[in-house]
Amino acid sequence: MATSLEAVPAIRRKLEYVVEAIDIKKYYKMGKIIVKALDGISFNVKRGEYVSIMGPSGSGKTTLFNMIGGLDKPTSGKVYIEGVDIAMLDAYELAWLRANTIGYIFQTFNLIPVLTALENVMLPMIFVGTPYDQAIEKAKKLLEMVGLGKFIHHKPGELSGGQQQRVAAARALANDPALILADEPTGNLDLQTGLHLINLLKKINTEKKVTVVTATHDLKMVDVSDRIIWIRDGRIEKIELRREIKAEAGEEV
Amino acid sequence: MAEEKKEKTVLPFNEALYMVVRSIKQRFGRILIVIIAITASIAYMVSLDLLSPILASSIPKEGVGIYTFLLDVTAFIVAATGTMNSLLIMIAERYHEIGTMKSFGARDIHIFELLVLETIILTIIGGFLGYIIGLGIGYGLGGTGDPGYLFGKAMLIAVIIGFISSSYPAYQAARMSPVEALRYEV
Repeated sequence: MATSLEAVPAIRRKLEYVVEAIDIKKYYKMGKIIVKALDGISFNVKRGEYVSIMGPSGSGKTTLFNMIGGLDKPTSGKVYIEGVDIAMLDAYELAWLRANTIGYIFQTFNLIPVLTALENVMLPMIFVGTPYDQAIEKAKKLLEMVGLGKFIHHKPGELSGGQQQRVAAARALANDPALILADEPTGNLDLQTGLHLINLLKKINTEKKVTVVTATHDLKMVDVSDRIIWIRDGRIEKIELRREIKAEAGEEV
Repeated sequence: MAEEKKEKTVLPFNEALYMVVRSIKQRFGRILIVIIAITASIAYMVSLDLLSPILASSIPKEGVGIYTFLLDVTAFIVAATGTMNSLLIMIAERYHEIGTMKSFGARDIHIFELLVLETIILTIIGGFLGYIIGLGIGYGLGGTGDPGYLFGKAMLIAVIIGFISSSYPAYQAARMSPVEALRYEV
């Protein structure tokens, strides 16, 4: 186990891209009609980048998000995560990839209600076989990092939405993932709490050098994103760098 | 990477047990329904077993075994269907939780294990309560029988009911893809 885990950072350093999506298509059959949820999308996410996928509801951003998270498989096209073609993985390998490489943050927080904040953060570590003492130590540190050092023994029901989402962020970091995927992370939060969470994600991105990909229609996310991928009707409408957006905004003023 | 791919995610038994016990404690209201169903049917079974010699006095001798067996089967079916019904709902309410666990590395077998383990613990509690109540009723009405044998039978049947009634709902939940489970609306 030790040797293989040590090998991971070495692979991570070598690869420039954490996510490579090549011409992904996802078609659903609804009776006789074929719905093209994604219709030929290609893009890469560089290591350490903060990328937001934006688009109106029904544009296919959640579908795209599920593809790059290895939660769903495309009808055609390839998705590489850390250089691994996820279509080639069996159920065991996919579970291992999810546990080790990706940390998820969901719109509805999705903490396990019967477990405390600390236990929720420990859960992904248990799945990869981290010794109990080590898992506790690390979970405590992560919860302190997200500013919840005093709430480690609280259950999700005893925490506010913003606090729950911060627990979720700590949980996403549990196994030192290369990639954090956040699906509408601010969708259930008010303006101020949402802003806190966005700043936390940015902090994780810059300080821990974790690549962050969010699917969102929260425009507050624009300020912290390195790149924004706009999706419309299952296709990429445009990809913008933050610099460009700032320049546009500047012209308007 | 080839090395790494051989690794499997794990869920040690003590961790699973811990989560299950926490879950039972926290959701006690819901879970009480399952326990009551088991308690009632085990009590029914145990008391009828004790009373069967009395009931048998009006039935031909060779009929007693068949009669007791049929009563046991009734108790078993009532308990198993009742439990499965409650479990189908209880487990569907937890699809989000299951999807979350899967997206953090839980495999199908881990989900299955957690759900079946939880049910078996419940049916053991119900089986034990049912045994005590059934014994009270049976002896109270003047029945006779071997309490040790009945205890074994009650617990064994309780565990079998737990396994059978949870297998299908747990299997169904375990094989869902994380996306399906997360998207599910109750």
